[in-house]
Amino acid sequence: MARAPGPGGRRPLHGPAAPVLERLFAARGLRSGEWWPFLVQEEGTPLPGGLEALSGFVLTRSGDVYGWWLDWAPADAGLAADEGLATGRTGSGGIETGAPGAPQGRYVLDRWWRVAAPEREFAADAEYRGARERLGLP
Amino acid sequence: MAAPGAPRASEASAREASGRAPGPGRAEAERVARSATWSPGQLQAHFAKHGREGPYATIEAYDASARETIRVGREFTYLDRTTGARRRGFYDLSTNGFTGVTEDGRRITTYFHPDSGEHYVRGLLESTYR
Repeated sequence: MARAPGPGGRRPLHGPAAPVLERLFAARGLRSGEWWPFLVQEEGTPLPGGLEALSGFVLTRSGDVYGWWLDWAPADAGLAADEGLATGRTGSGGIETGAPGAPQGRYVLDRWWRVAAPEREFAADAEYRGARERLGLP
Repeated sequence: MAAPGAPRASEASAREASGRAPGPGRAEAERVARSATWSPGQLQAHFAKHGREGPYATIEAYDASARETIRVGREFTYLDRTTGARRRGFYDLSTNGFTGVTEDGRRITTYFHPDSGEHYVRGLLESTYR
């Protein structure tokens, strides 16, 4: 399996959800290359955009940790300008738009919460320690 | 396929259905079922998203079912597609319950009833489910 580039790389993630997570985290103020996901899990729900629902956490370079849930909002739920429109399939480069007959909507972080005292909460989690290492945190 | 969350006739028949044999693996599964924890906020999030898939009146019932699936389910491993982290999975054919935990068994990462049953757990990245 290909490994993700280091913390200085442009794409700190690999996997099919990487472009979507990049965009959604950016909409939450997390700059590219300044975060690392951990304890991510596929949730069994295929989303109209082509990805599967995901849950997980993201560590920022400042040491904050946020929990999140990747889901899908249909177009009639309203579109946020910073999240954009997605239709149909997700290609290797990210979102494809304009596919005829494709479901209209957008990926969303349906749940987003800040974890208090993450260093204490995740002290024993190997994936959290790995994420800290990836971001160059002690 | 049994209805999600259907009551088990007995622990023995559930184990027979899931394919788990008695032995050291059972003791390890029991350890994980007892000691694994959900990460902060994750039990609430998972109950909100998956709780309607089974007859779970309370968050405690949902959590208990996740742990029972570890006890009686067939164990396998797979990789998370986003991070490449290895996970341990437990799938109980009798209830179509799937619980995921971290490789060290410290964290429960999910519990749900996949729409496509065994096909889903077999199709996880590098799944060892047979």
